[in-house]
Amino acid sequence: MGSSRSSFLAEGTTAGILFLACPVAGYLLGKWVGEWLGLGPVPSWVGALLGLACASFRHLFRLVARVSR
Amino acid sequence: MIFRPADWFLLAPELFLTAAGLLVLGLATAFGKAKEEFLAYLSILLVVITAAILAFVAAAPARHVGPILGGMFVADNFALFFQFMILLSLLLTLLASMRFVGAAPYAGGEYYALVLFTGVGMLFMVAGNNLISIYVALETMALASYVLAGYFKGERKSTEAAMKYFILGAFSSGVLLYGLSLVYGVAGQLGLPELAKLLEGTERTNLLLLGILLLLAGLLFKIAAVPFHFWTPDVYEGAPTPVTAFFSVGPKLAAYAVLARVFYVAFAKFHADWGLIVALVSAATMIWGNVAALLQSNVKRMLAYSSIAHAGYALLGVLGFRTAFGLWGILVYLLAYTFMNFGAFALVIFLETKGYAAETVADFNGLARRNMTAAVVMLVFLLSLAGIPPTAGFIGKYYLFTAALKAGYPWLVVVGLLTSAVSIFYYFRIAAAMFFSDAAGAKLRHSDALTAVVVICAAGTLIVGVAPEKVLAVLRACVPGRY
Amino acid sequence: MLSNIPILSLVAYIPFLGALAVIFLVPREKAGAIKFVATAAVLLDFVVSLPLWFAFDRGAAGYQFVERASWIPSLGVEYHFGIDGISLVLILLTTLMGVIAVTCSYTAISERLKEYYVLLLLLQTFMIGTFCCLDFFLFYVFWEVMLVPMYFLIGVWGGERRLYAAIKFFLYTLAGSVLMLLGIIALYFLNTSGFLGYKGAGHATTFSIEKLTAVAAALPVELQIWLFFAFFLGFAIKVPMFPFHTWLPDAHTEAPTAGSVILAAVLLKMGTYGFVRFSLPMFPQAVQTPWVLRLMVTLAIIGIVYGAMVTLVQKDMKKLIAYSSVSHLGFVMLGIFALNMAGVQGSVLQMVNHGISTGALFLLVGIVYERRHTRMIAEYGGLARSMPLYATYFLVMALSSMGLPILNGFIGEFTILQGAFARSFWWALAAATGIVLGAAYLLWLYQRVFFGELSNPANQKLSDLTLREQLTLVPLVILAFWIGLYPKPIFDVLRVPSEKIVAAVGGATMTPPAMAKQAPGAEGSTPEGAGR
Repeated sequence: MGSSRSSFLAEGTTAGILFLACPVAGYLLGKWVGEWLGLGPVPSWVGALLGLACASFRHLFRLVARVSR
Repeated sequence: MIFRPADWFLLAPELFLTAAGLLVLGLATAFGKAKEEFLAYLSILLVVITAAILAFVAAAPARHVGPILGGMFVADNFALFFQFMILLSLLLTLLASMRFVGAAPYAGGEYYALVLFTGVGMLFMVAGNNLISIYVALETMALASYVLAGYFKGERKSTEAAMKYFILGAFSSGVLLYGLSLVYGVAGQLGLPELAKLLEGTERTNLLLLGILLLLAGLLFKIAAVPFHFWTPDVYEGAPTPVTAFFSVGPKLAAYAVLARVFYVAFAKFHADWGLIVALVSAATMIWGNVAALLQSNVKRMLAYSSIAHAGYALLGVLGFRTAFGLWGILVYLLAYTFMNFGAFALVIFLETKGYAAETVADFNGLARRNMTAAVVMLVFLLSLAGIPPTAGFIGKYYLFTAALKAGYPWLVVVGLLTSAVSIFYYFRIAAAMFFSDAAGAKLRHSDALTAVVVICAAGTLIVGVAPEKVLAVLRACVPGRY
Repeated sequence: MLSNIPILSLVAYIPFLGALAVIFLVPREKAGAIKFVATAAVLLDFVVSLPLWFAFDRGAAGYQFVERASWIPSLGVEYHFGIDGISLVLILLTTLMGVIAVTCSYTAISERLKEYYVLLLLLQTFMIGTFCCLDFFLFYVFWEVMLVPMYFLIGVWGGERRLYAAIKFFLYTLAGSVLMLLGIIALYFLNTSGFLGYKGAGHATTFSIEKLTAVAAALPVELQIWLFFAFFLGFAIKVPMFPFHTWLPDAHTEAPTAGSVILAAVLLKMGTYGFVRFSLPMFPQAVQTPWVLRLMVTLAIIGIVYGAMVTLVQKDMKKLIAYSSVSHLGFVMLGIFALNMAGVQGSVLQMVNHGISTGALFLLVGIVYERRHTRMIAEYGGLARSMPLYATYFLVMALSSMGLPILNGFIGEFTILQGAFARSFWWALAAATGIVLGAAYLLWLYQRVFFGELSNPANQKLSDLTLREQLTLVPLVILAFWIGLYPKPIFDVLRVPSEKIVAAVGGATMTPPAMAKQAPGAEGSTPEGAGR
């Protein structure tokens, strides 16, 4: 079906964009927290990791779970 | 690049296993389902021969220790230990699969060939001394294992598991590769010792740290550490149980070897930067793995979460890599983990081959009445998983906690100790079901191949637990050096 | 004579061999043979443990019957057994209780006999092993593995809520002991290379309790306090001390009779033994820190009073006796933290006394439960008429438990109070209220169960004690009278180790040196006089 195909394309694109956006957002958030609390550079890396894992990977996982149903 | 003829001798086990995989694959296409049992025995034989060759190589006088094949791989005791462990996990998997795959309506030959191919990938992976060779080996292992996860292609759960495993696995490989390219971009080198030498003189830059972080993320995915764990329960639940048992042990062993080697050899200088991140990941993994396992009623999912939790414990050793106990501790722990975790899965397989779904804890009800030996052996594995002495799990945990305390993470040790106390609760739910329930049923008979698996695992668990000295001494010689 | 025989190992492993014999040699169907082998194993074990008492050198400092072998040299772990007076009395108590636990189960346990006796025998080995250990690693191994058979004893042969009670028992005690492991690892490093900012002593790697005790005692106060609390949790949960006691009534109530007896008589002593053997000599500065000491004593006194008050309102006999343990062990804790000769000696003696009297009371409750299948006090009344012998034994043991003179409980409680009084009048006063309450709940229990009309028809045809049941009780009665009338032999055995412990925690800051030197002799003799 065309519509499901285009929606799949849209979902895939979202995953791709999120893959870049989430770690960057996590990094910036972590950097802000780190500067706010004076903890140095570690929180920014933790933020990037969390962004990568909890947003990008998780989104992809959900997507796969939905598609394979 | 220097290629010495002697290097090929050192690579003999890997090469033999590759040839073995191809042979089994060829025979499988020629014979089909009819000769499946023969292929199973053949694969077991080939794995044993590989182990014998490996032992021969290891025992060779004046064995070369150091980089081989122009620095792409390294021959050392650390690699040897993991290669032995990987061959052991292959052997256990093949033994555990025999009945299981035979009974399923799918051609079995390719299954055995795929198991051997994952083995080839892992053997190369643990000997990798260059990020590129490590990556290629990892992909070899991963591609074969995606297929294994979906081997029961008629079952929706199995295909779904394979799909998830494939997409997320490919994604994590991409992350790893990206990190690798960033490191290469900064350092211009991919060999681990060369990287270490080069980084000695450079200041850390954000780009380099990002590269290291992405490498770490890719490897954490393979060992199923929180927050890269969510594929694990679904894949473990969906994949055929022998494959699940294999996934929980084999690929994790290889990934740990890579993690330990890469971070010990190449990135030791930036310990302060990745140390805290690994510590947080470890704490989160121990807590989340154990707490989530508490909530499961499906045994395979419970064991999946339990293996997530164990990944967290093993990370303690990576943190303590600078102490005498850290890398030694990982080796001890992984040895213990291989035995106890595979043993626990073997009993799940045992129940499954006897017609129980072995899905809920209730399937274990009254096992003590139906087969006392099986129940007692399962209890040993559970005690070991929970870290109760005198079992291998206790010795392993002891080393890891010691390493973490020495490395200056007492809070992490407290988390580890408390979560392992929590883990008693879900492990003993199985124990309680086996021994306390009065549910009666027909006596269960053993099957030979599976009995062999259980005997190997139980013997390992108890020997490492009660008389560990010899094993510890051997393992101490396997801690890697920098070449 | 005994120096060439590894007698401690023999005592520890005879039950283990018995368990192996039951597993491999006796078929499941032969109930009689299983009981016979189990009984033979524990009896033999008891007989073998007796020479320890006679060959023990009362005057010698240090550990005796030492056995030493290398176990895991790369870690410095040794197989190291040895005992002093404190462990001696507890080992003898354990071997005796083992015999009683096995013989009292003949009729009470009717299914899965084989597993039952195997677990009971294994438990016996692990408990004796714990008391013998002079190596921390080995100690921890025994200490942990001991939980497993007890878990199954409660979980398989227990009452209705056995699953809950079993897992609660396991989780509580395990949670406590894992932190002890942290303490042990920390000590290991402090003995060798140090960790974090703390410098190590630079010795060779070892887990020897003697050596680590010396290292620990020399540590700075704040570190000692940390380590003290790491160990404290493990021991306090096992004792159990006041806020950590909630597992005890459940475990006791649900356990089968033999399980309760072993639990009360021996397992709870592990905790108090830990305090005496480890906490005091290892962290003397910490226990003498005023706020720590005050906290410990306050918890002990709350335990005594609160335990006794909760006991008063119990409707279930077994639960009543279980709660009374909280109160009695509060006494033991108070004695220990009085940090003087009378206190420590009295505490160890009271550990034995509690084992005898509470063990016997659990036995007695088990006997009547076997006949009536209820433990509700309201179901009984007037039993003195239908079971006169039973009533007599119960009375003796209840009196012993409440601390009546000429019986064992009196000696222990009196000595502890004496020790507490030497520290503070208020401590002794608070503890004394516990004795009064103790008399109240036991006498009230006795009155409700044994006196009055024999109104319940189910009670009228109860048969009195059989010979076997009497045989399980007689040794305990004899011991109760013996300790009550002539406690000197036991005080003699306890004197030297207690002096050592008190010297470690005493003289330094609290009492003037002159008094500390004089104290052991002076106070060691008073209890005998009191006993007469």
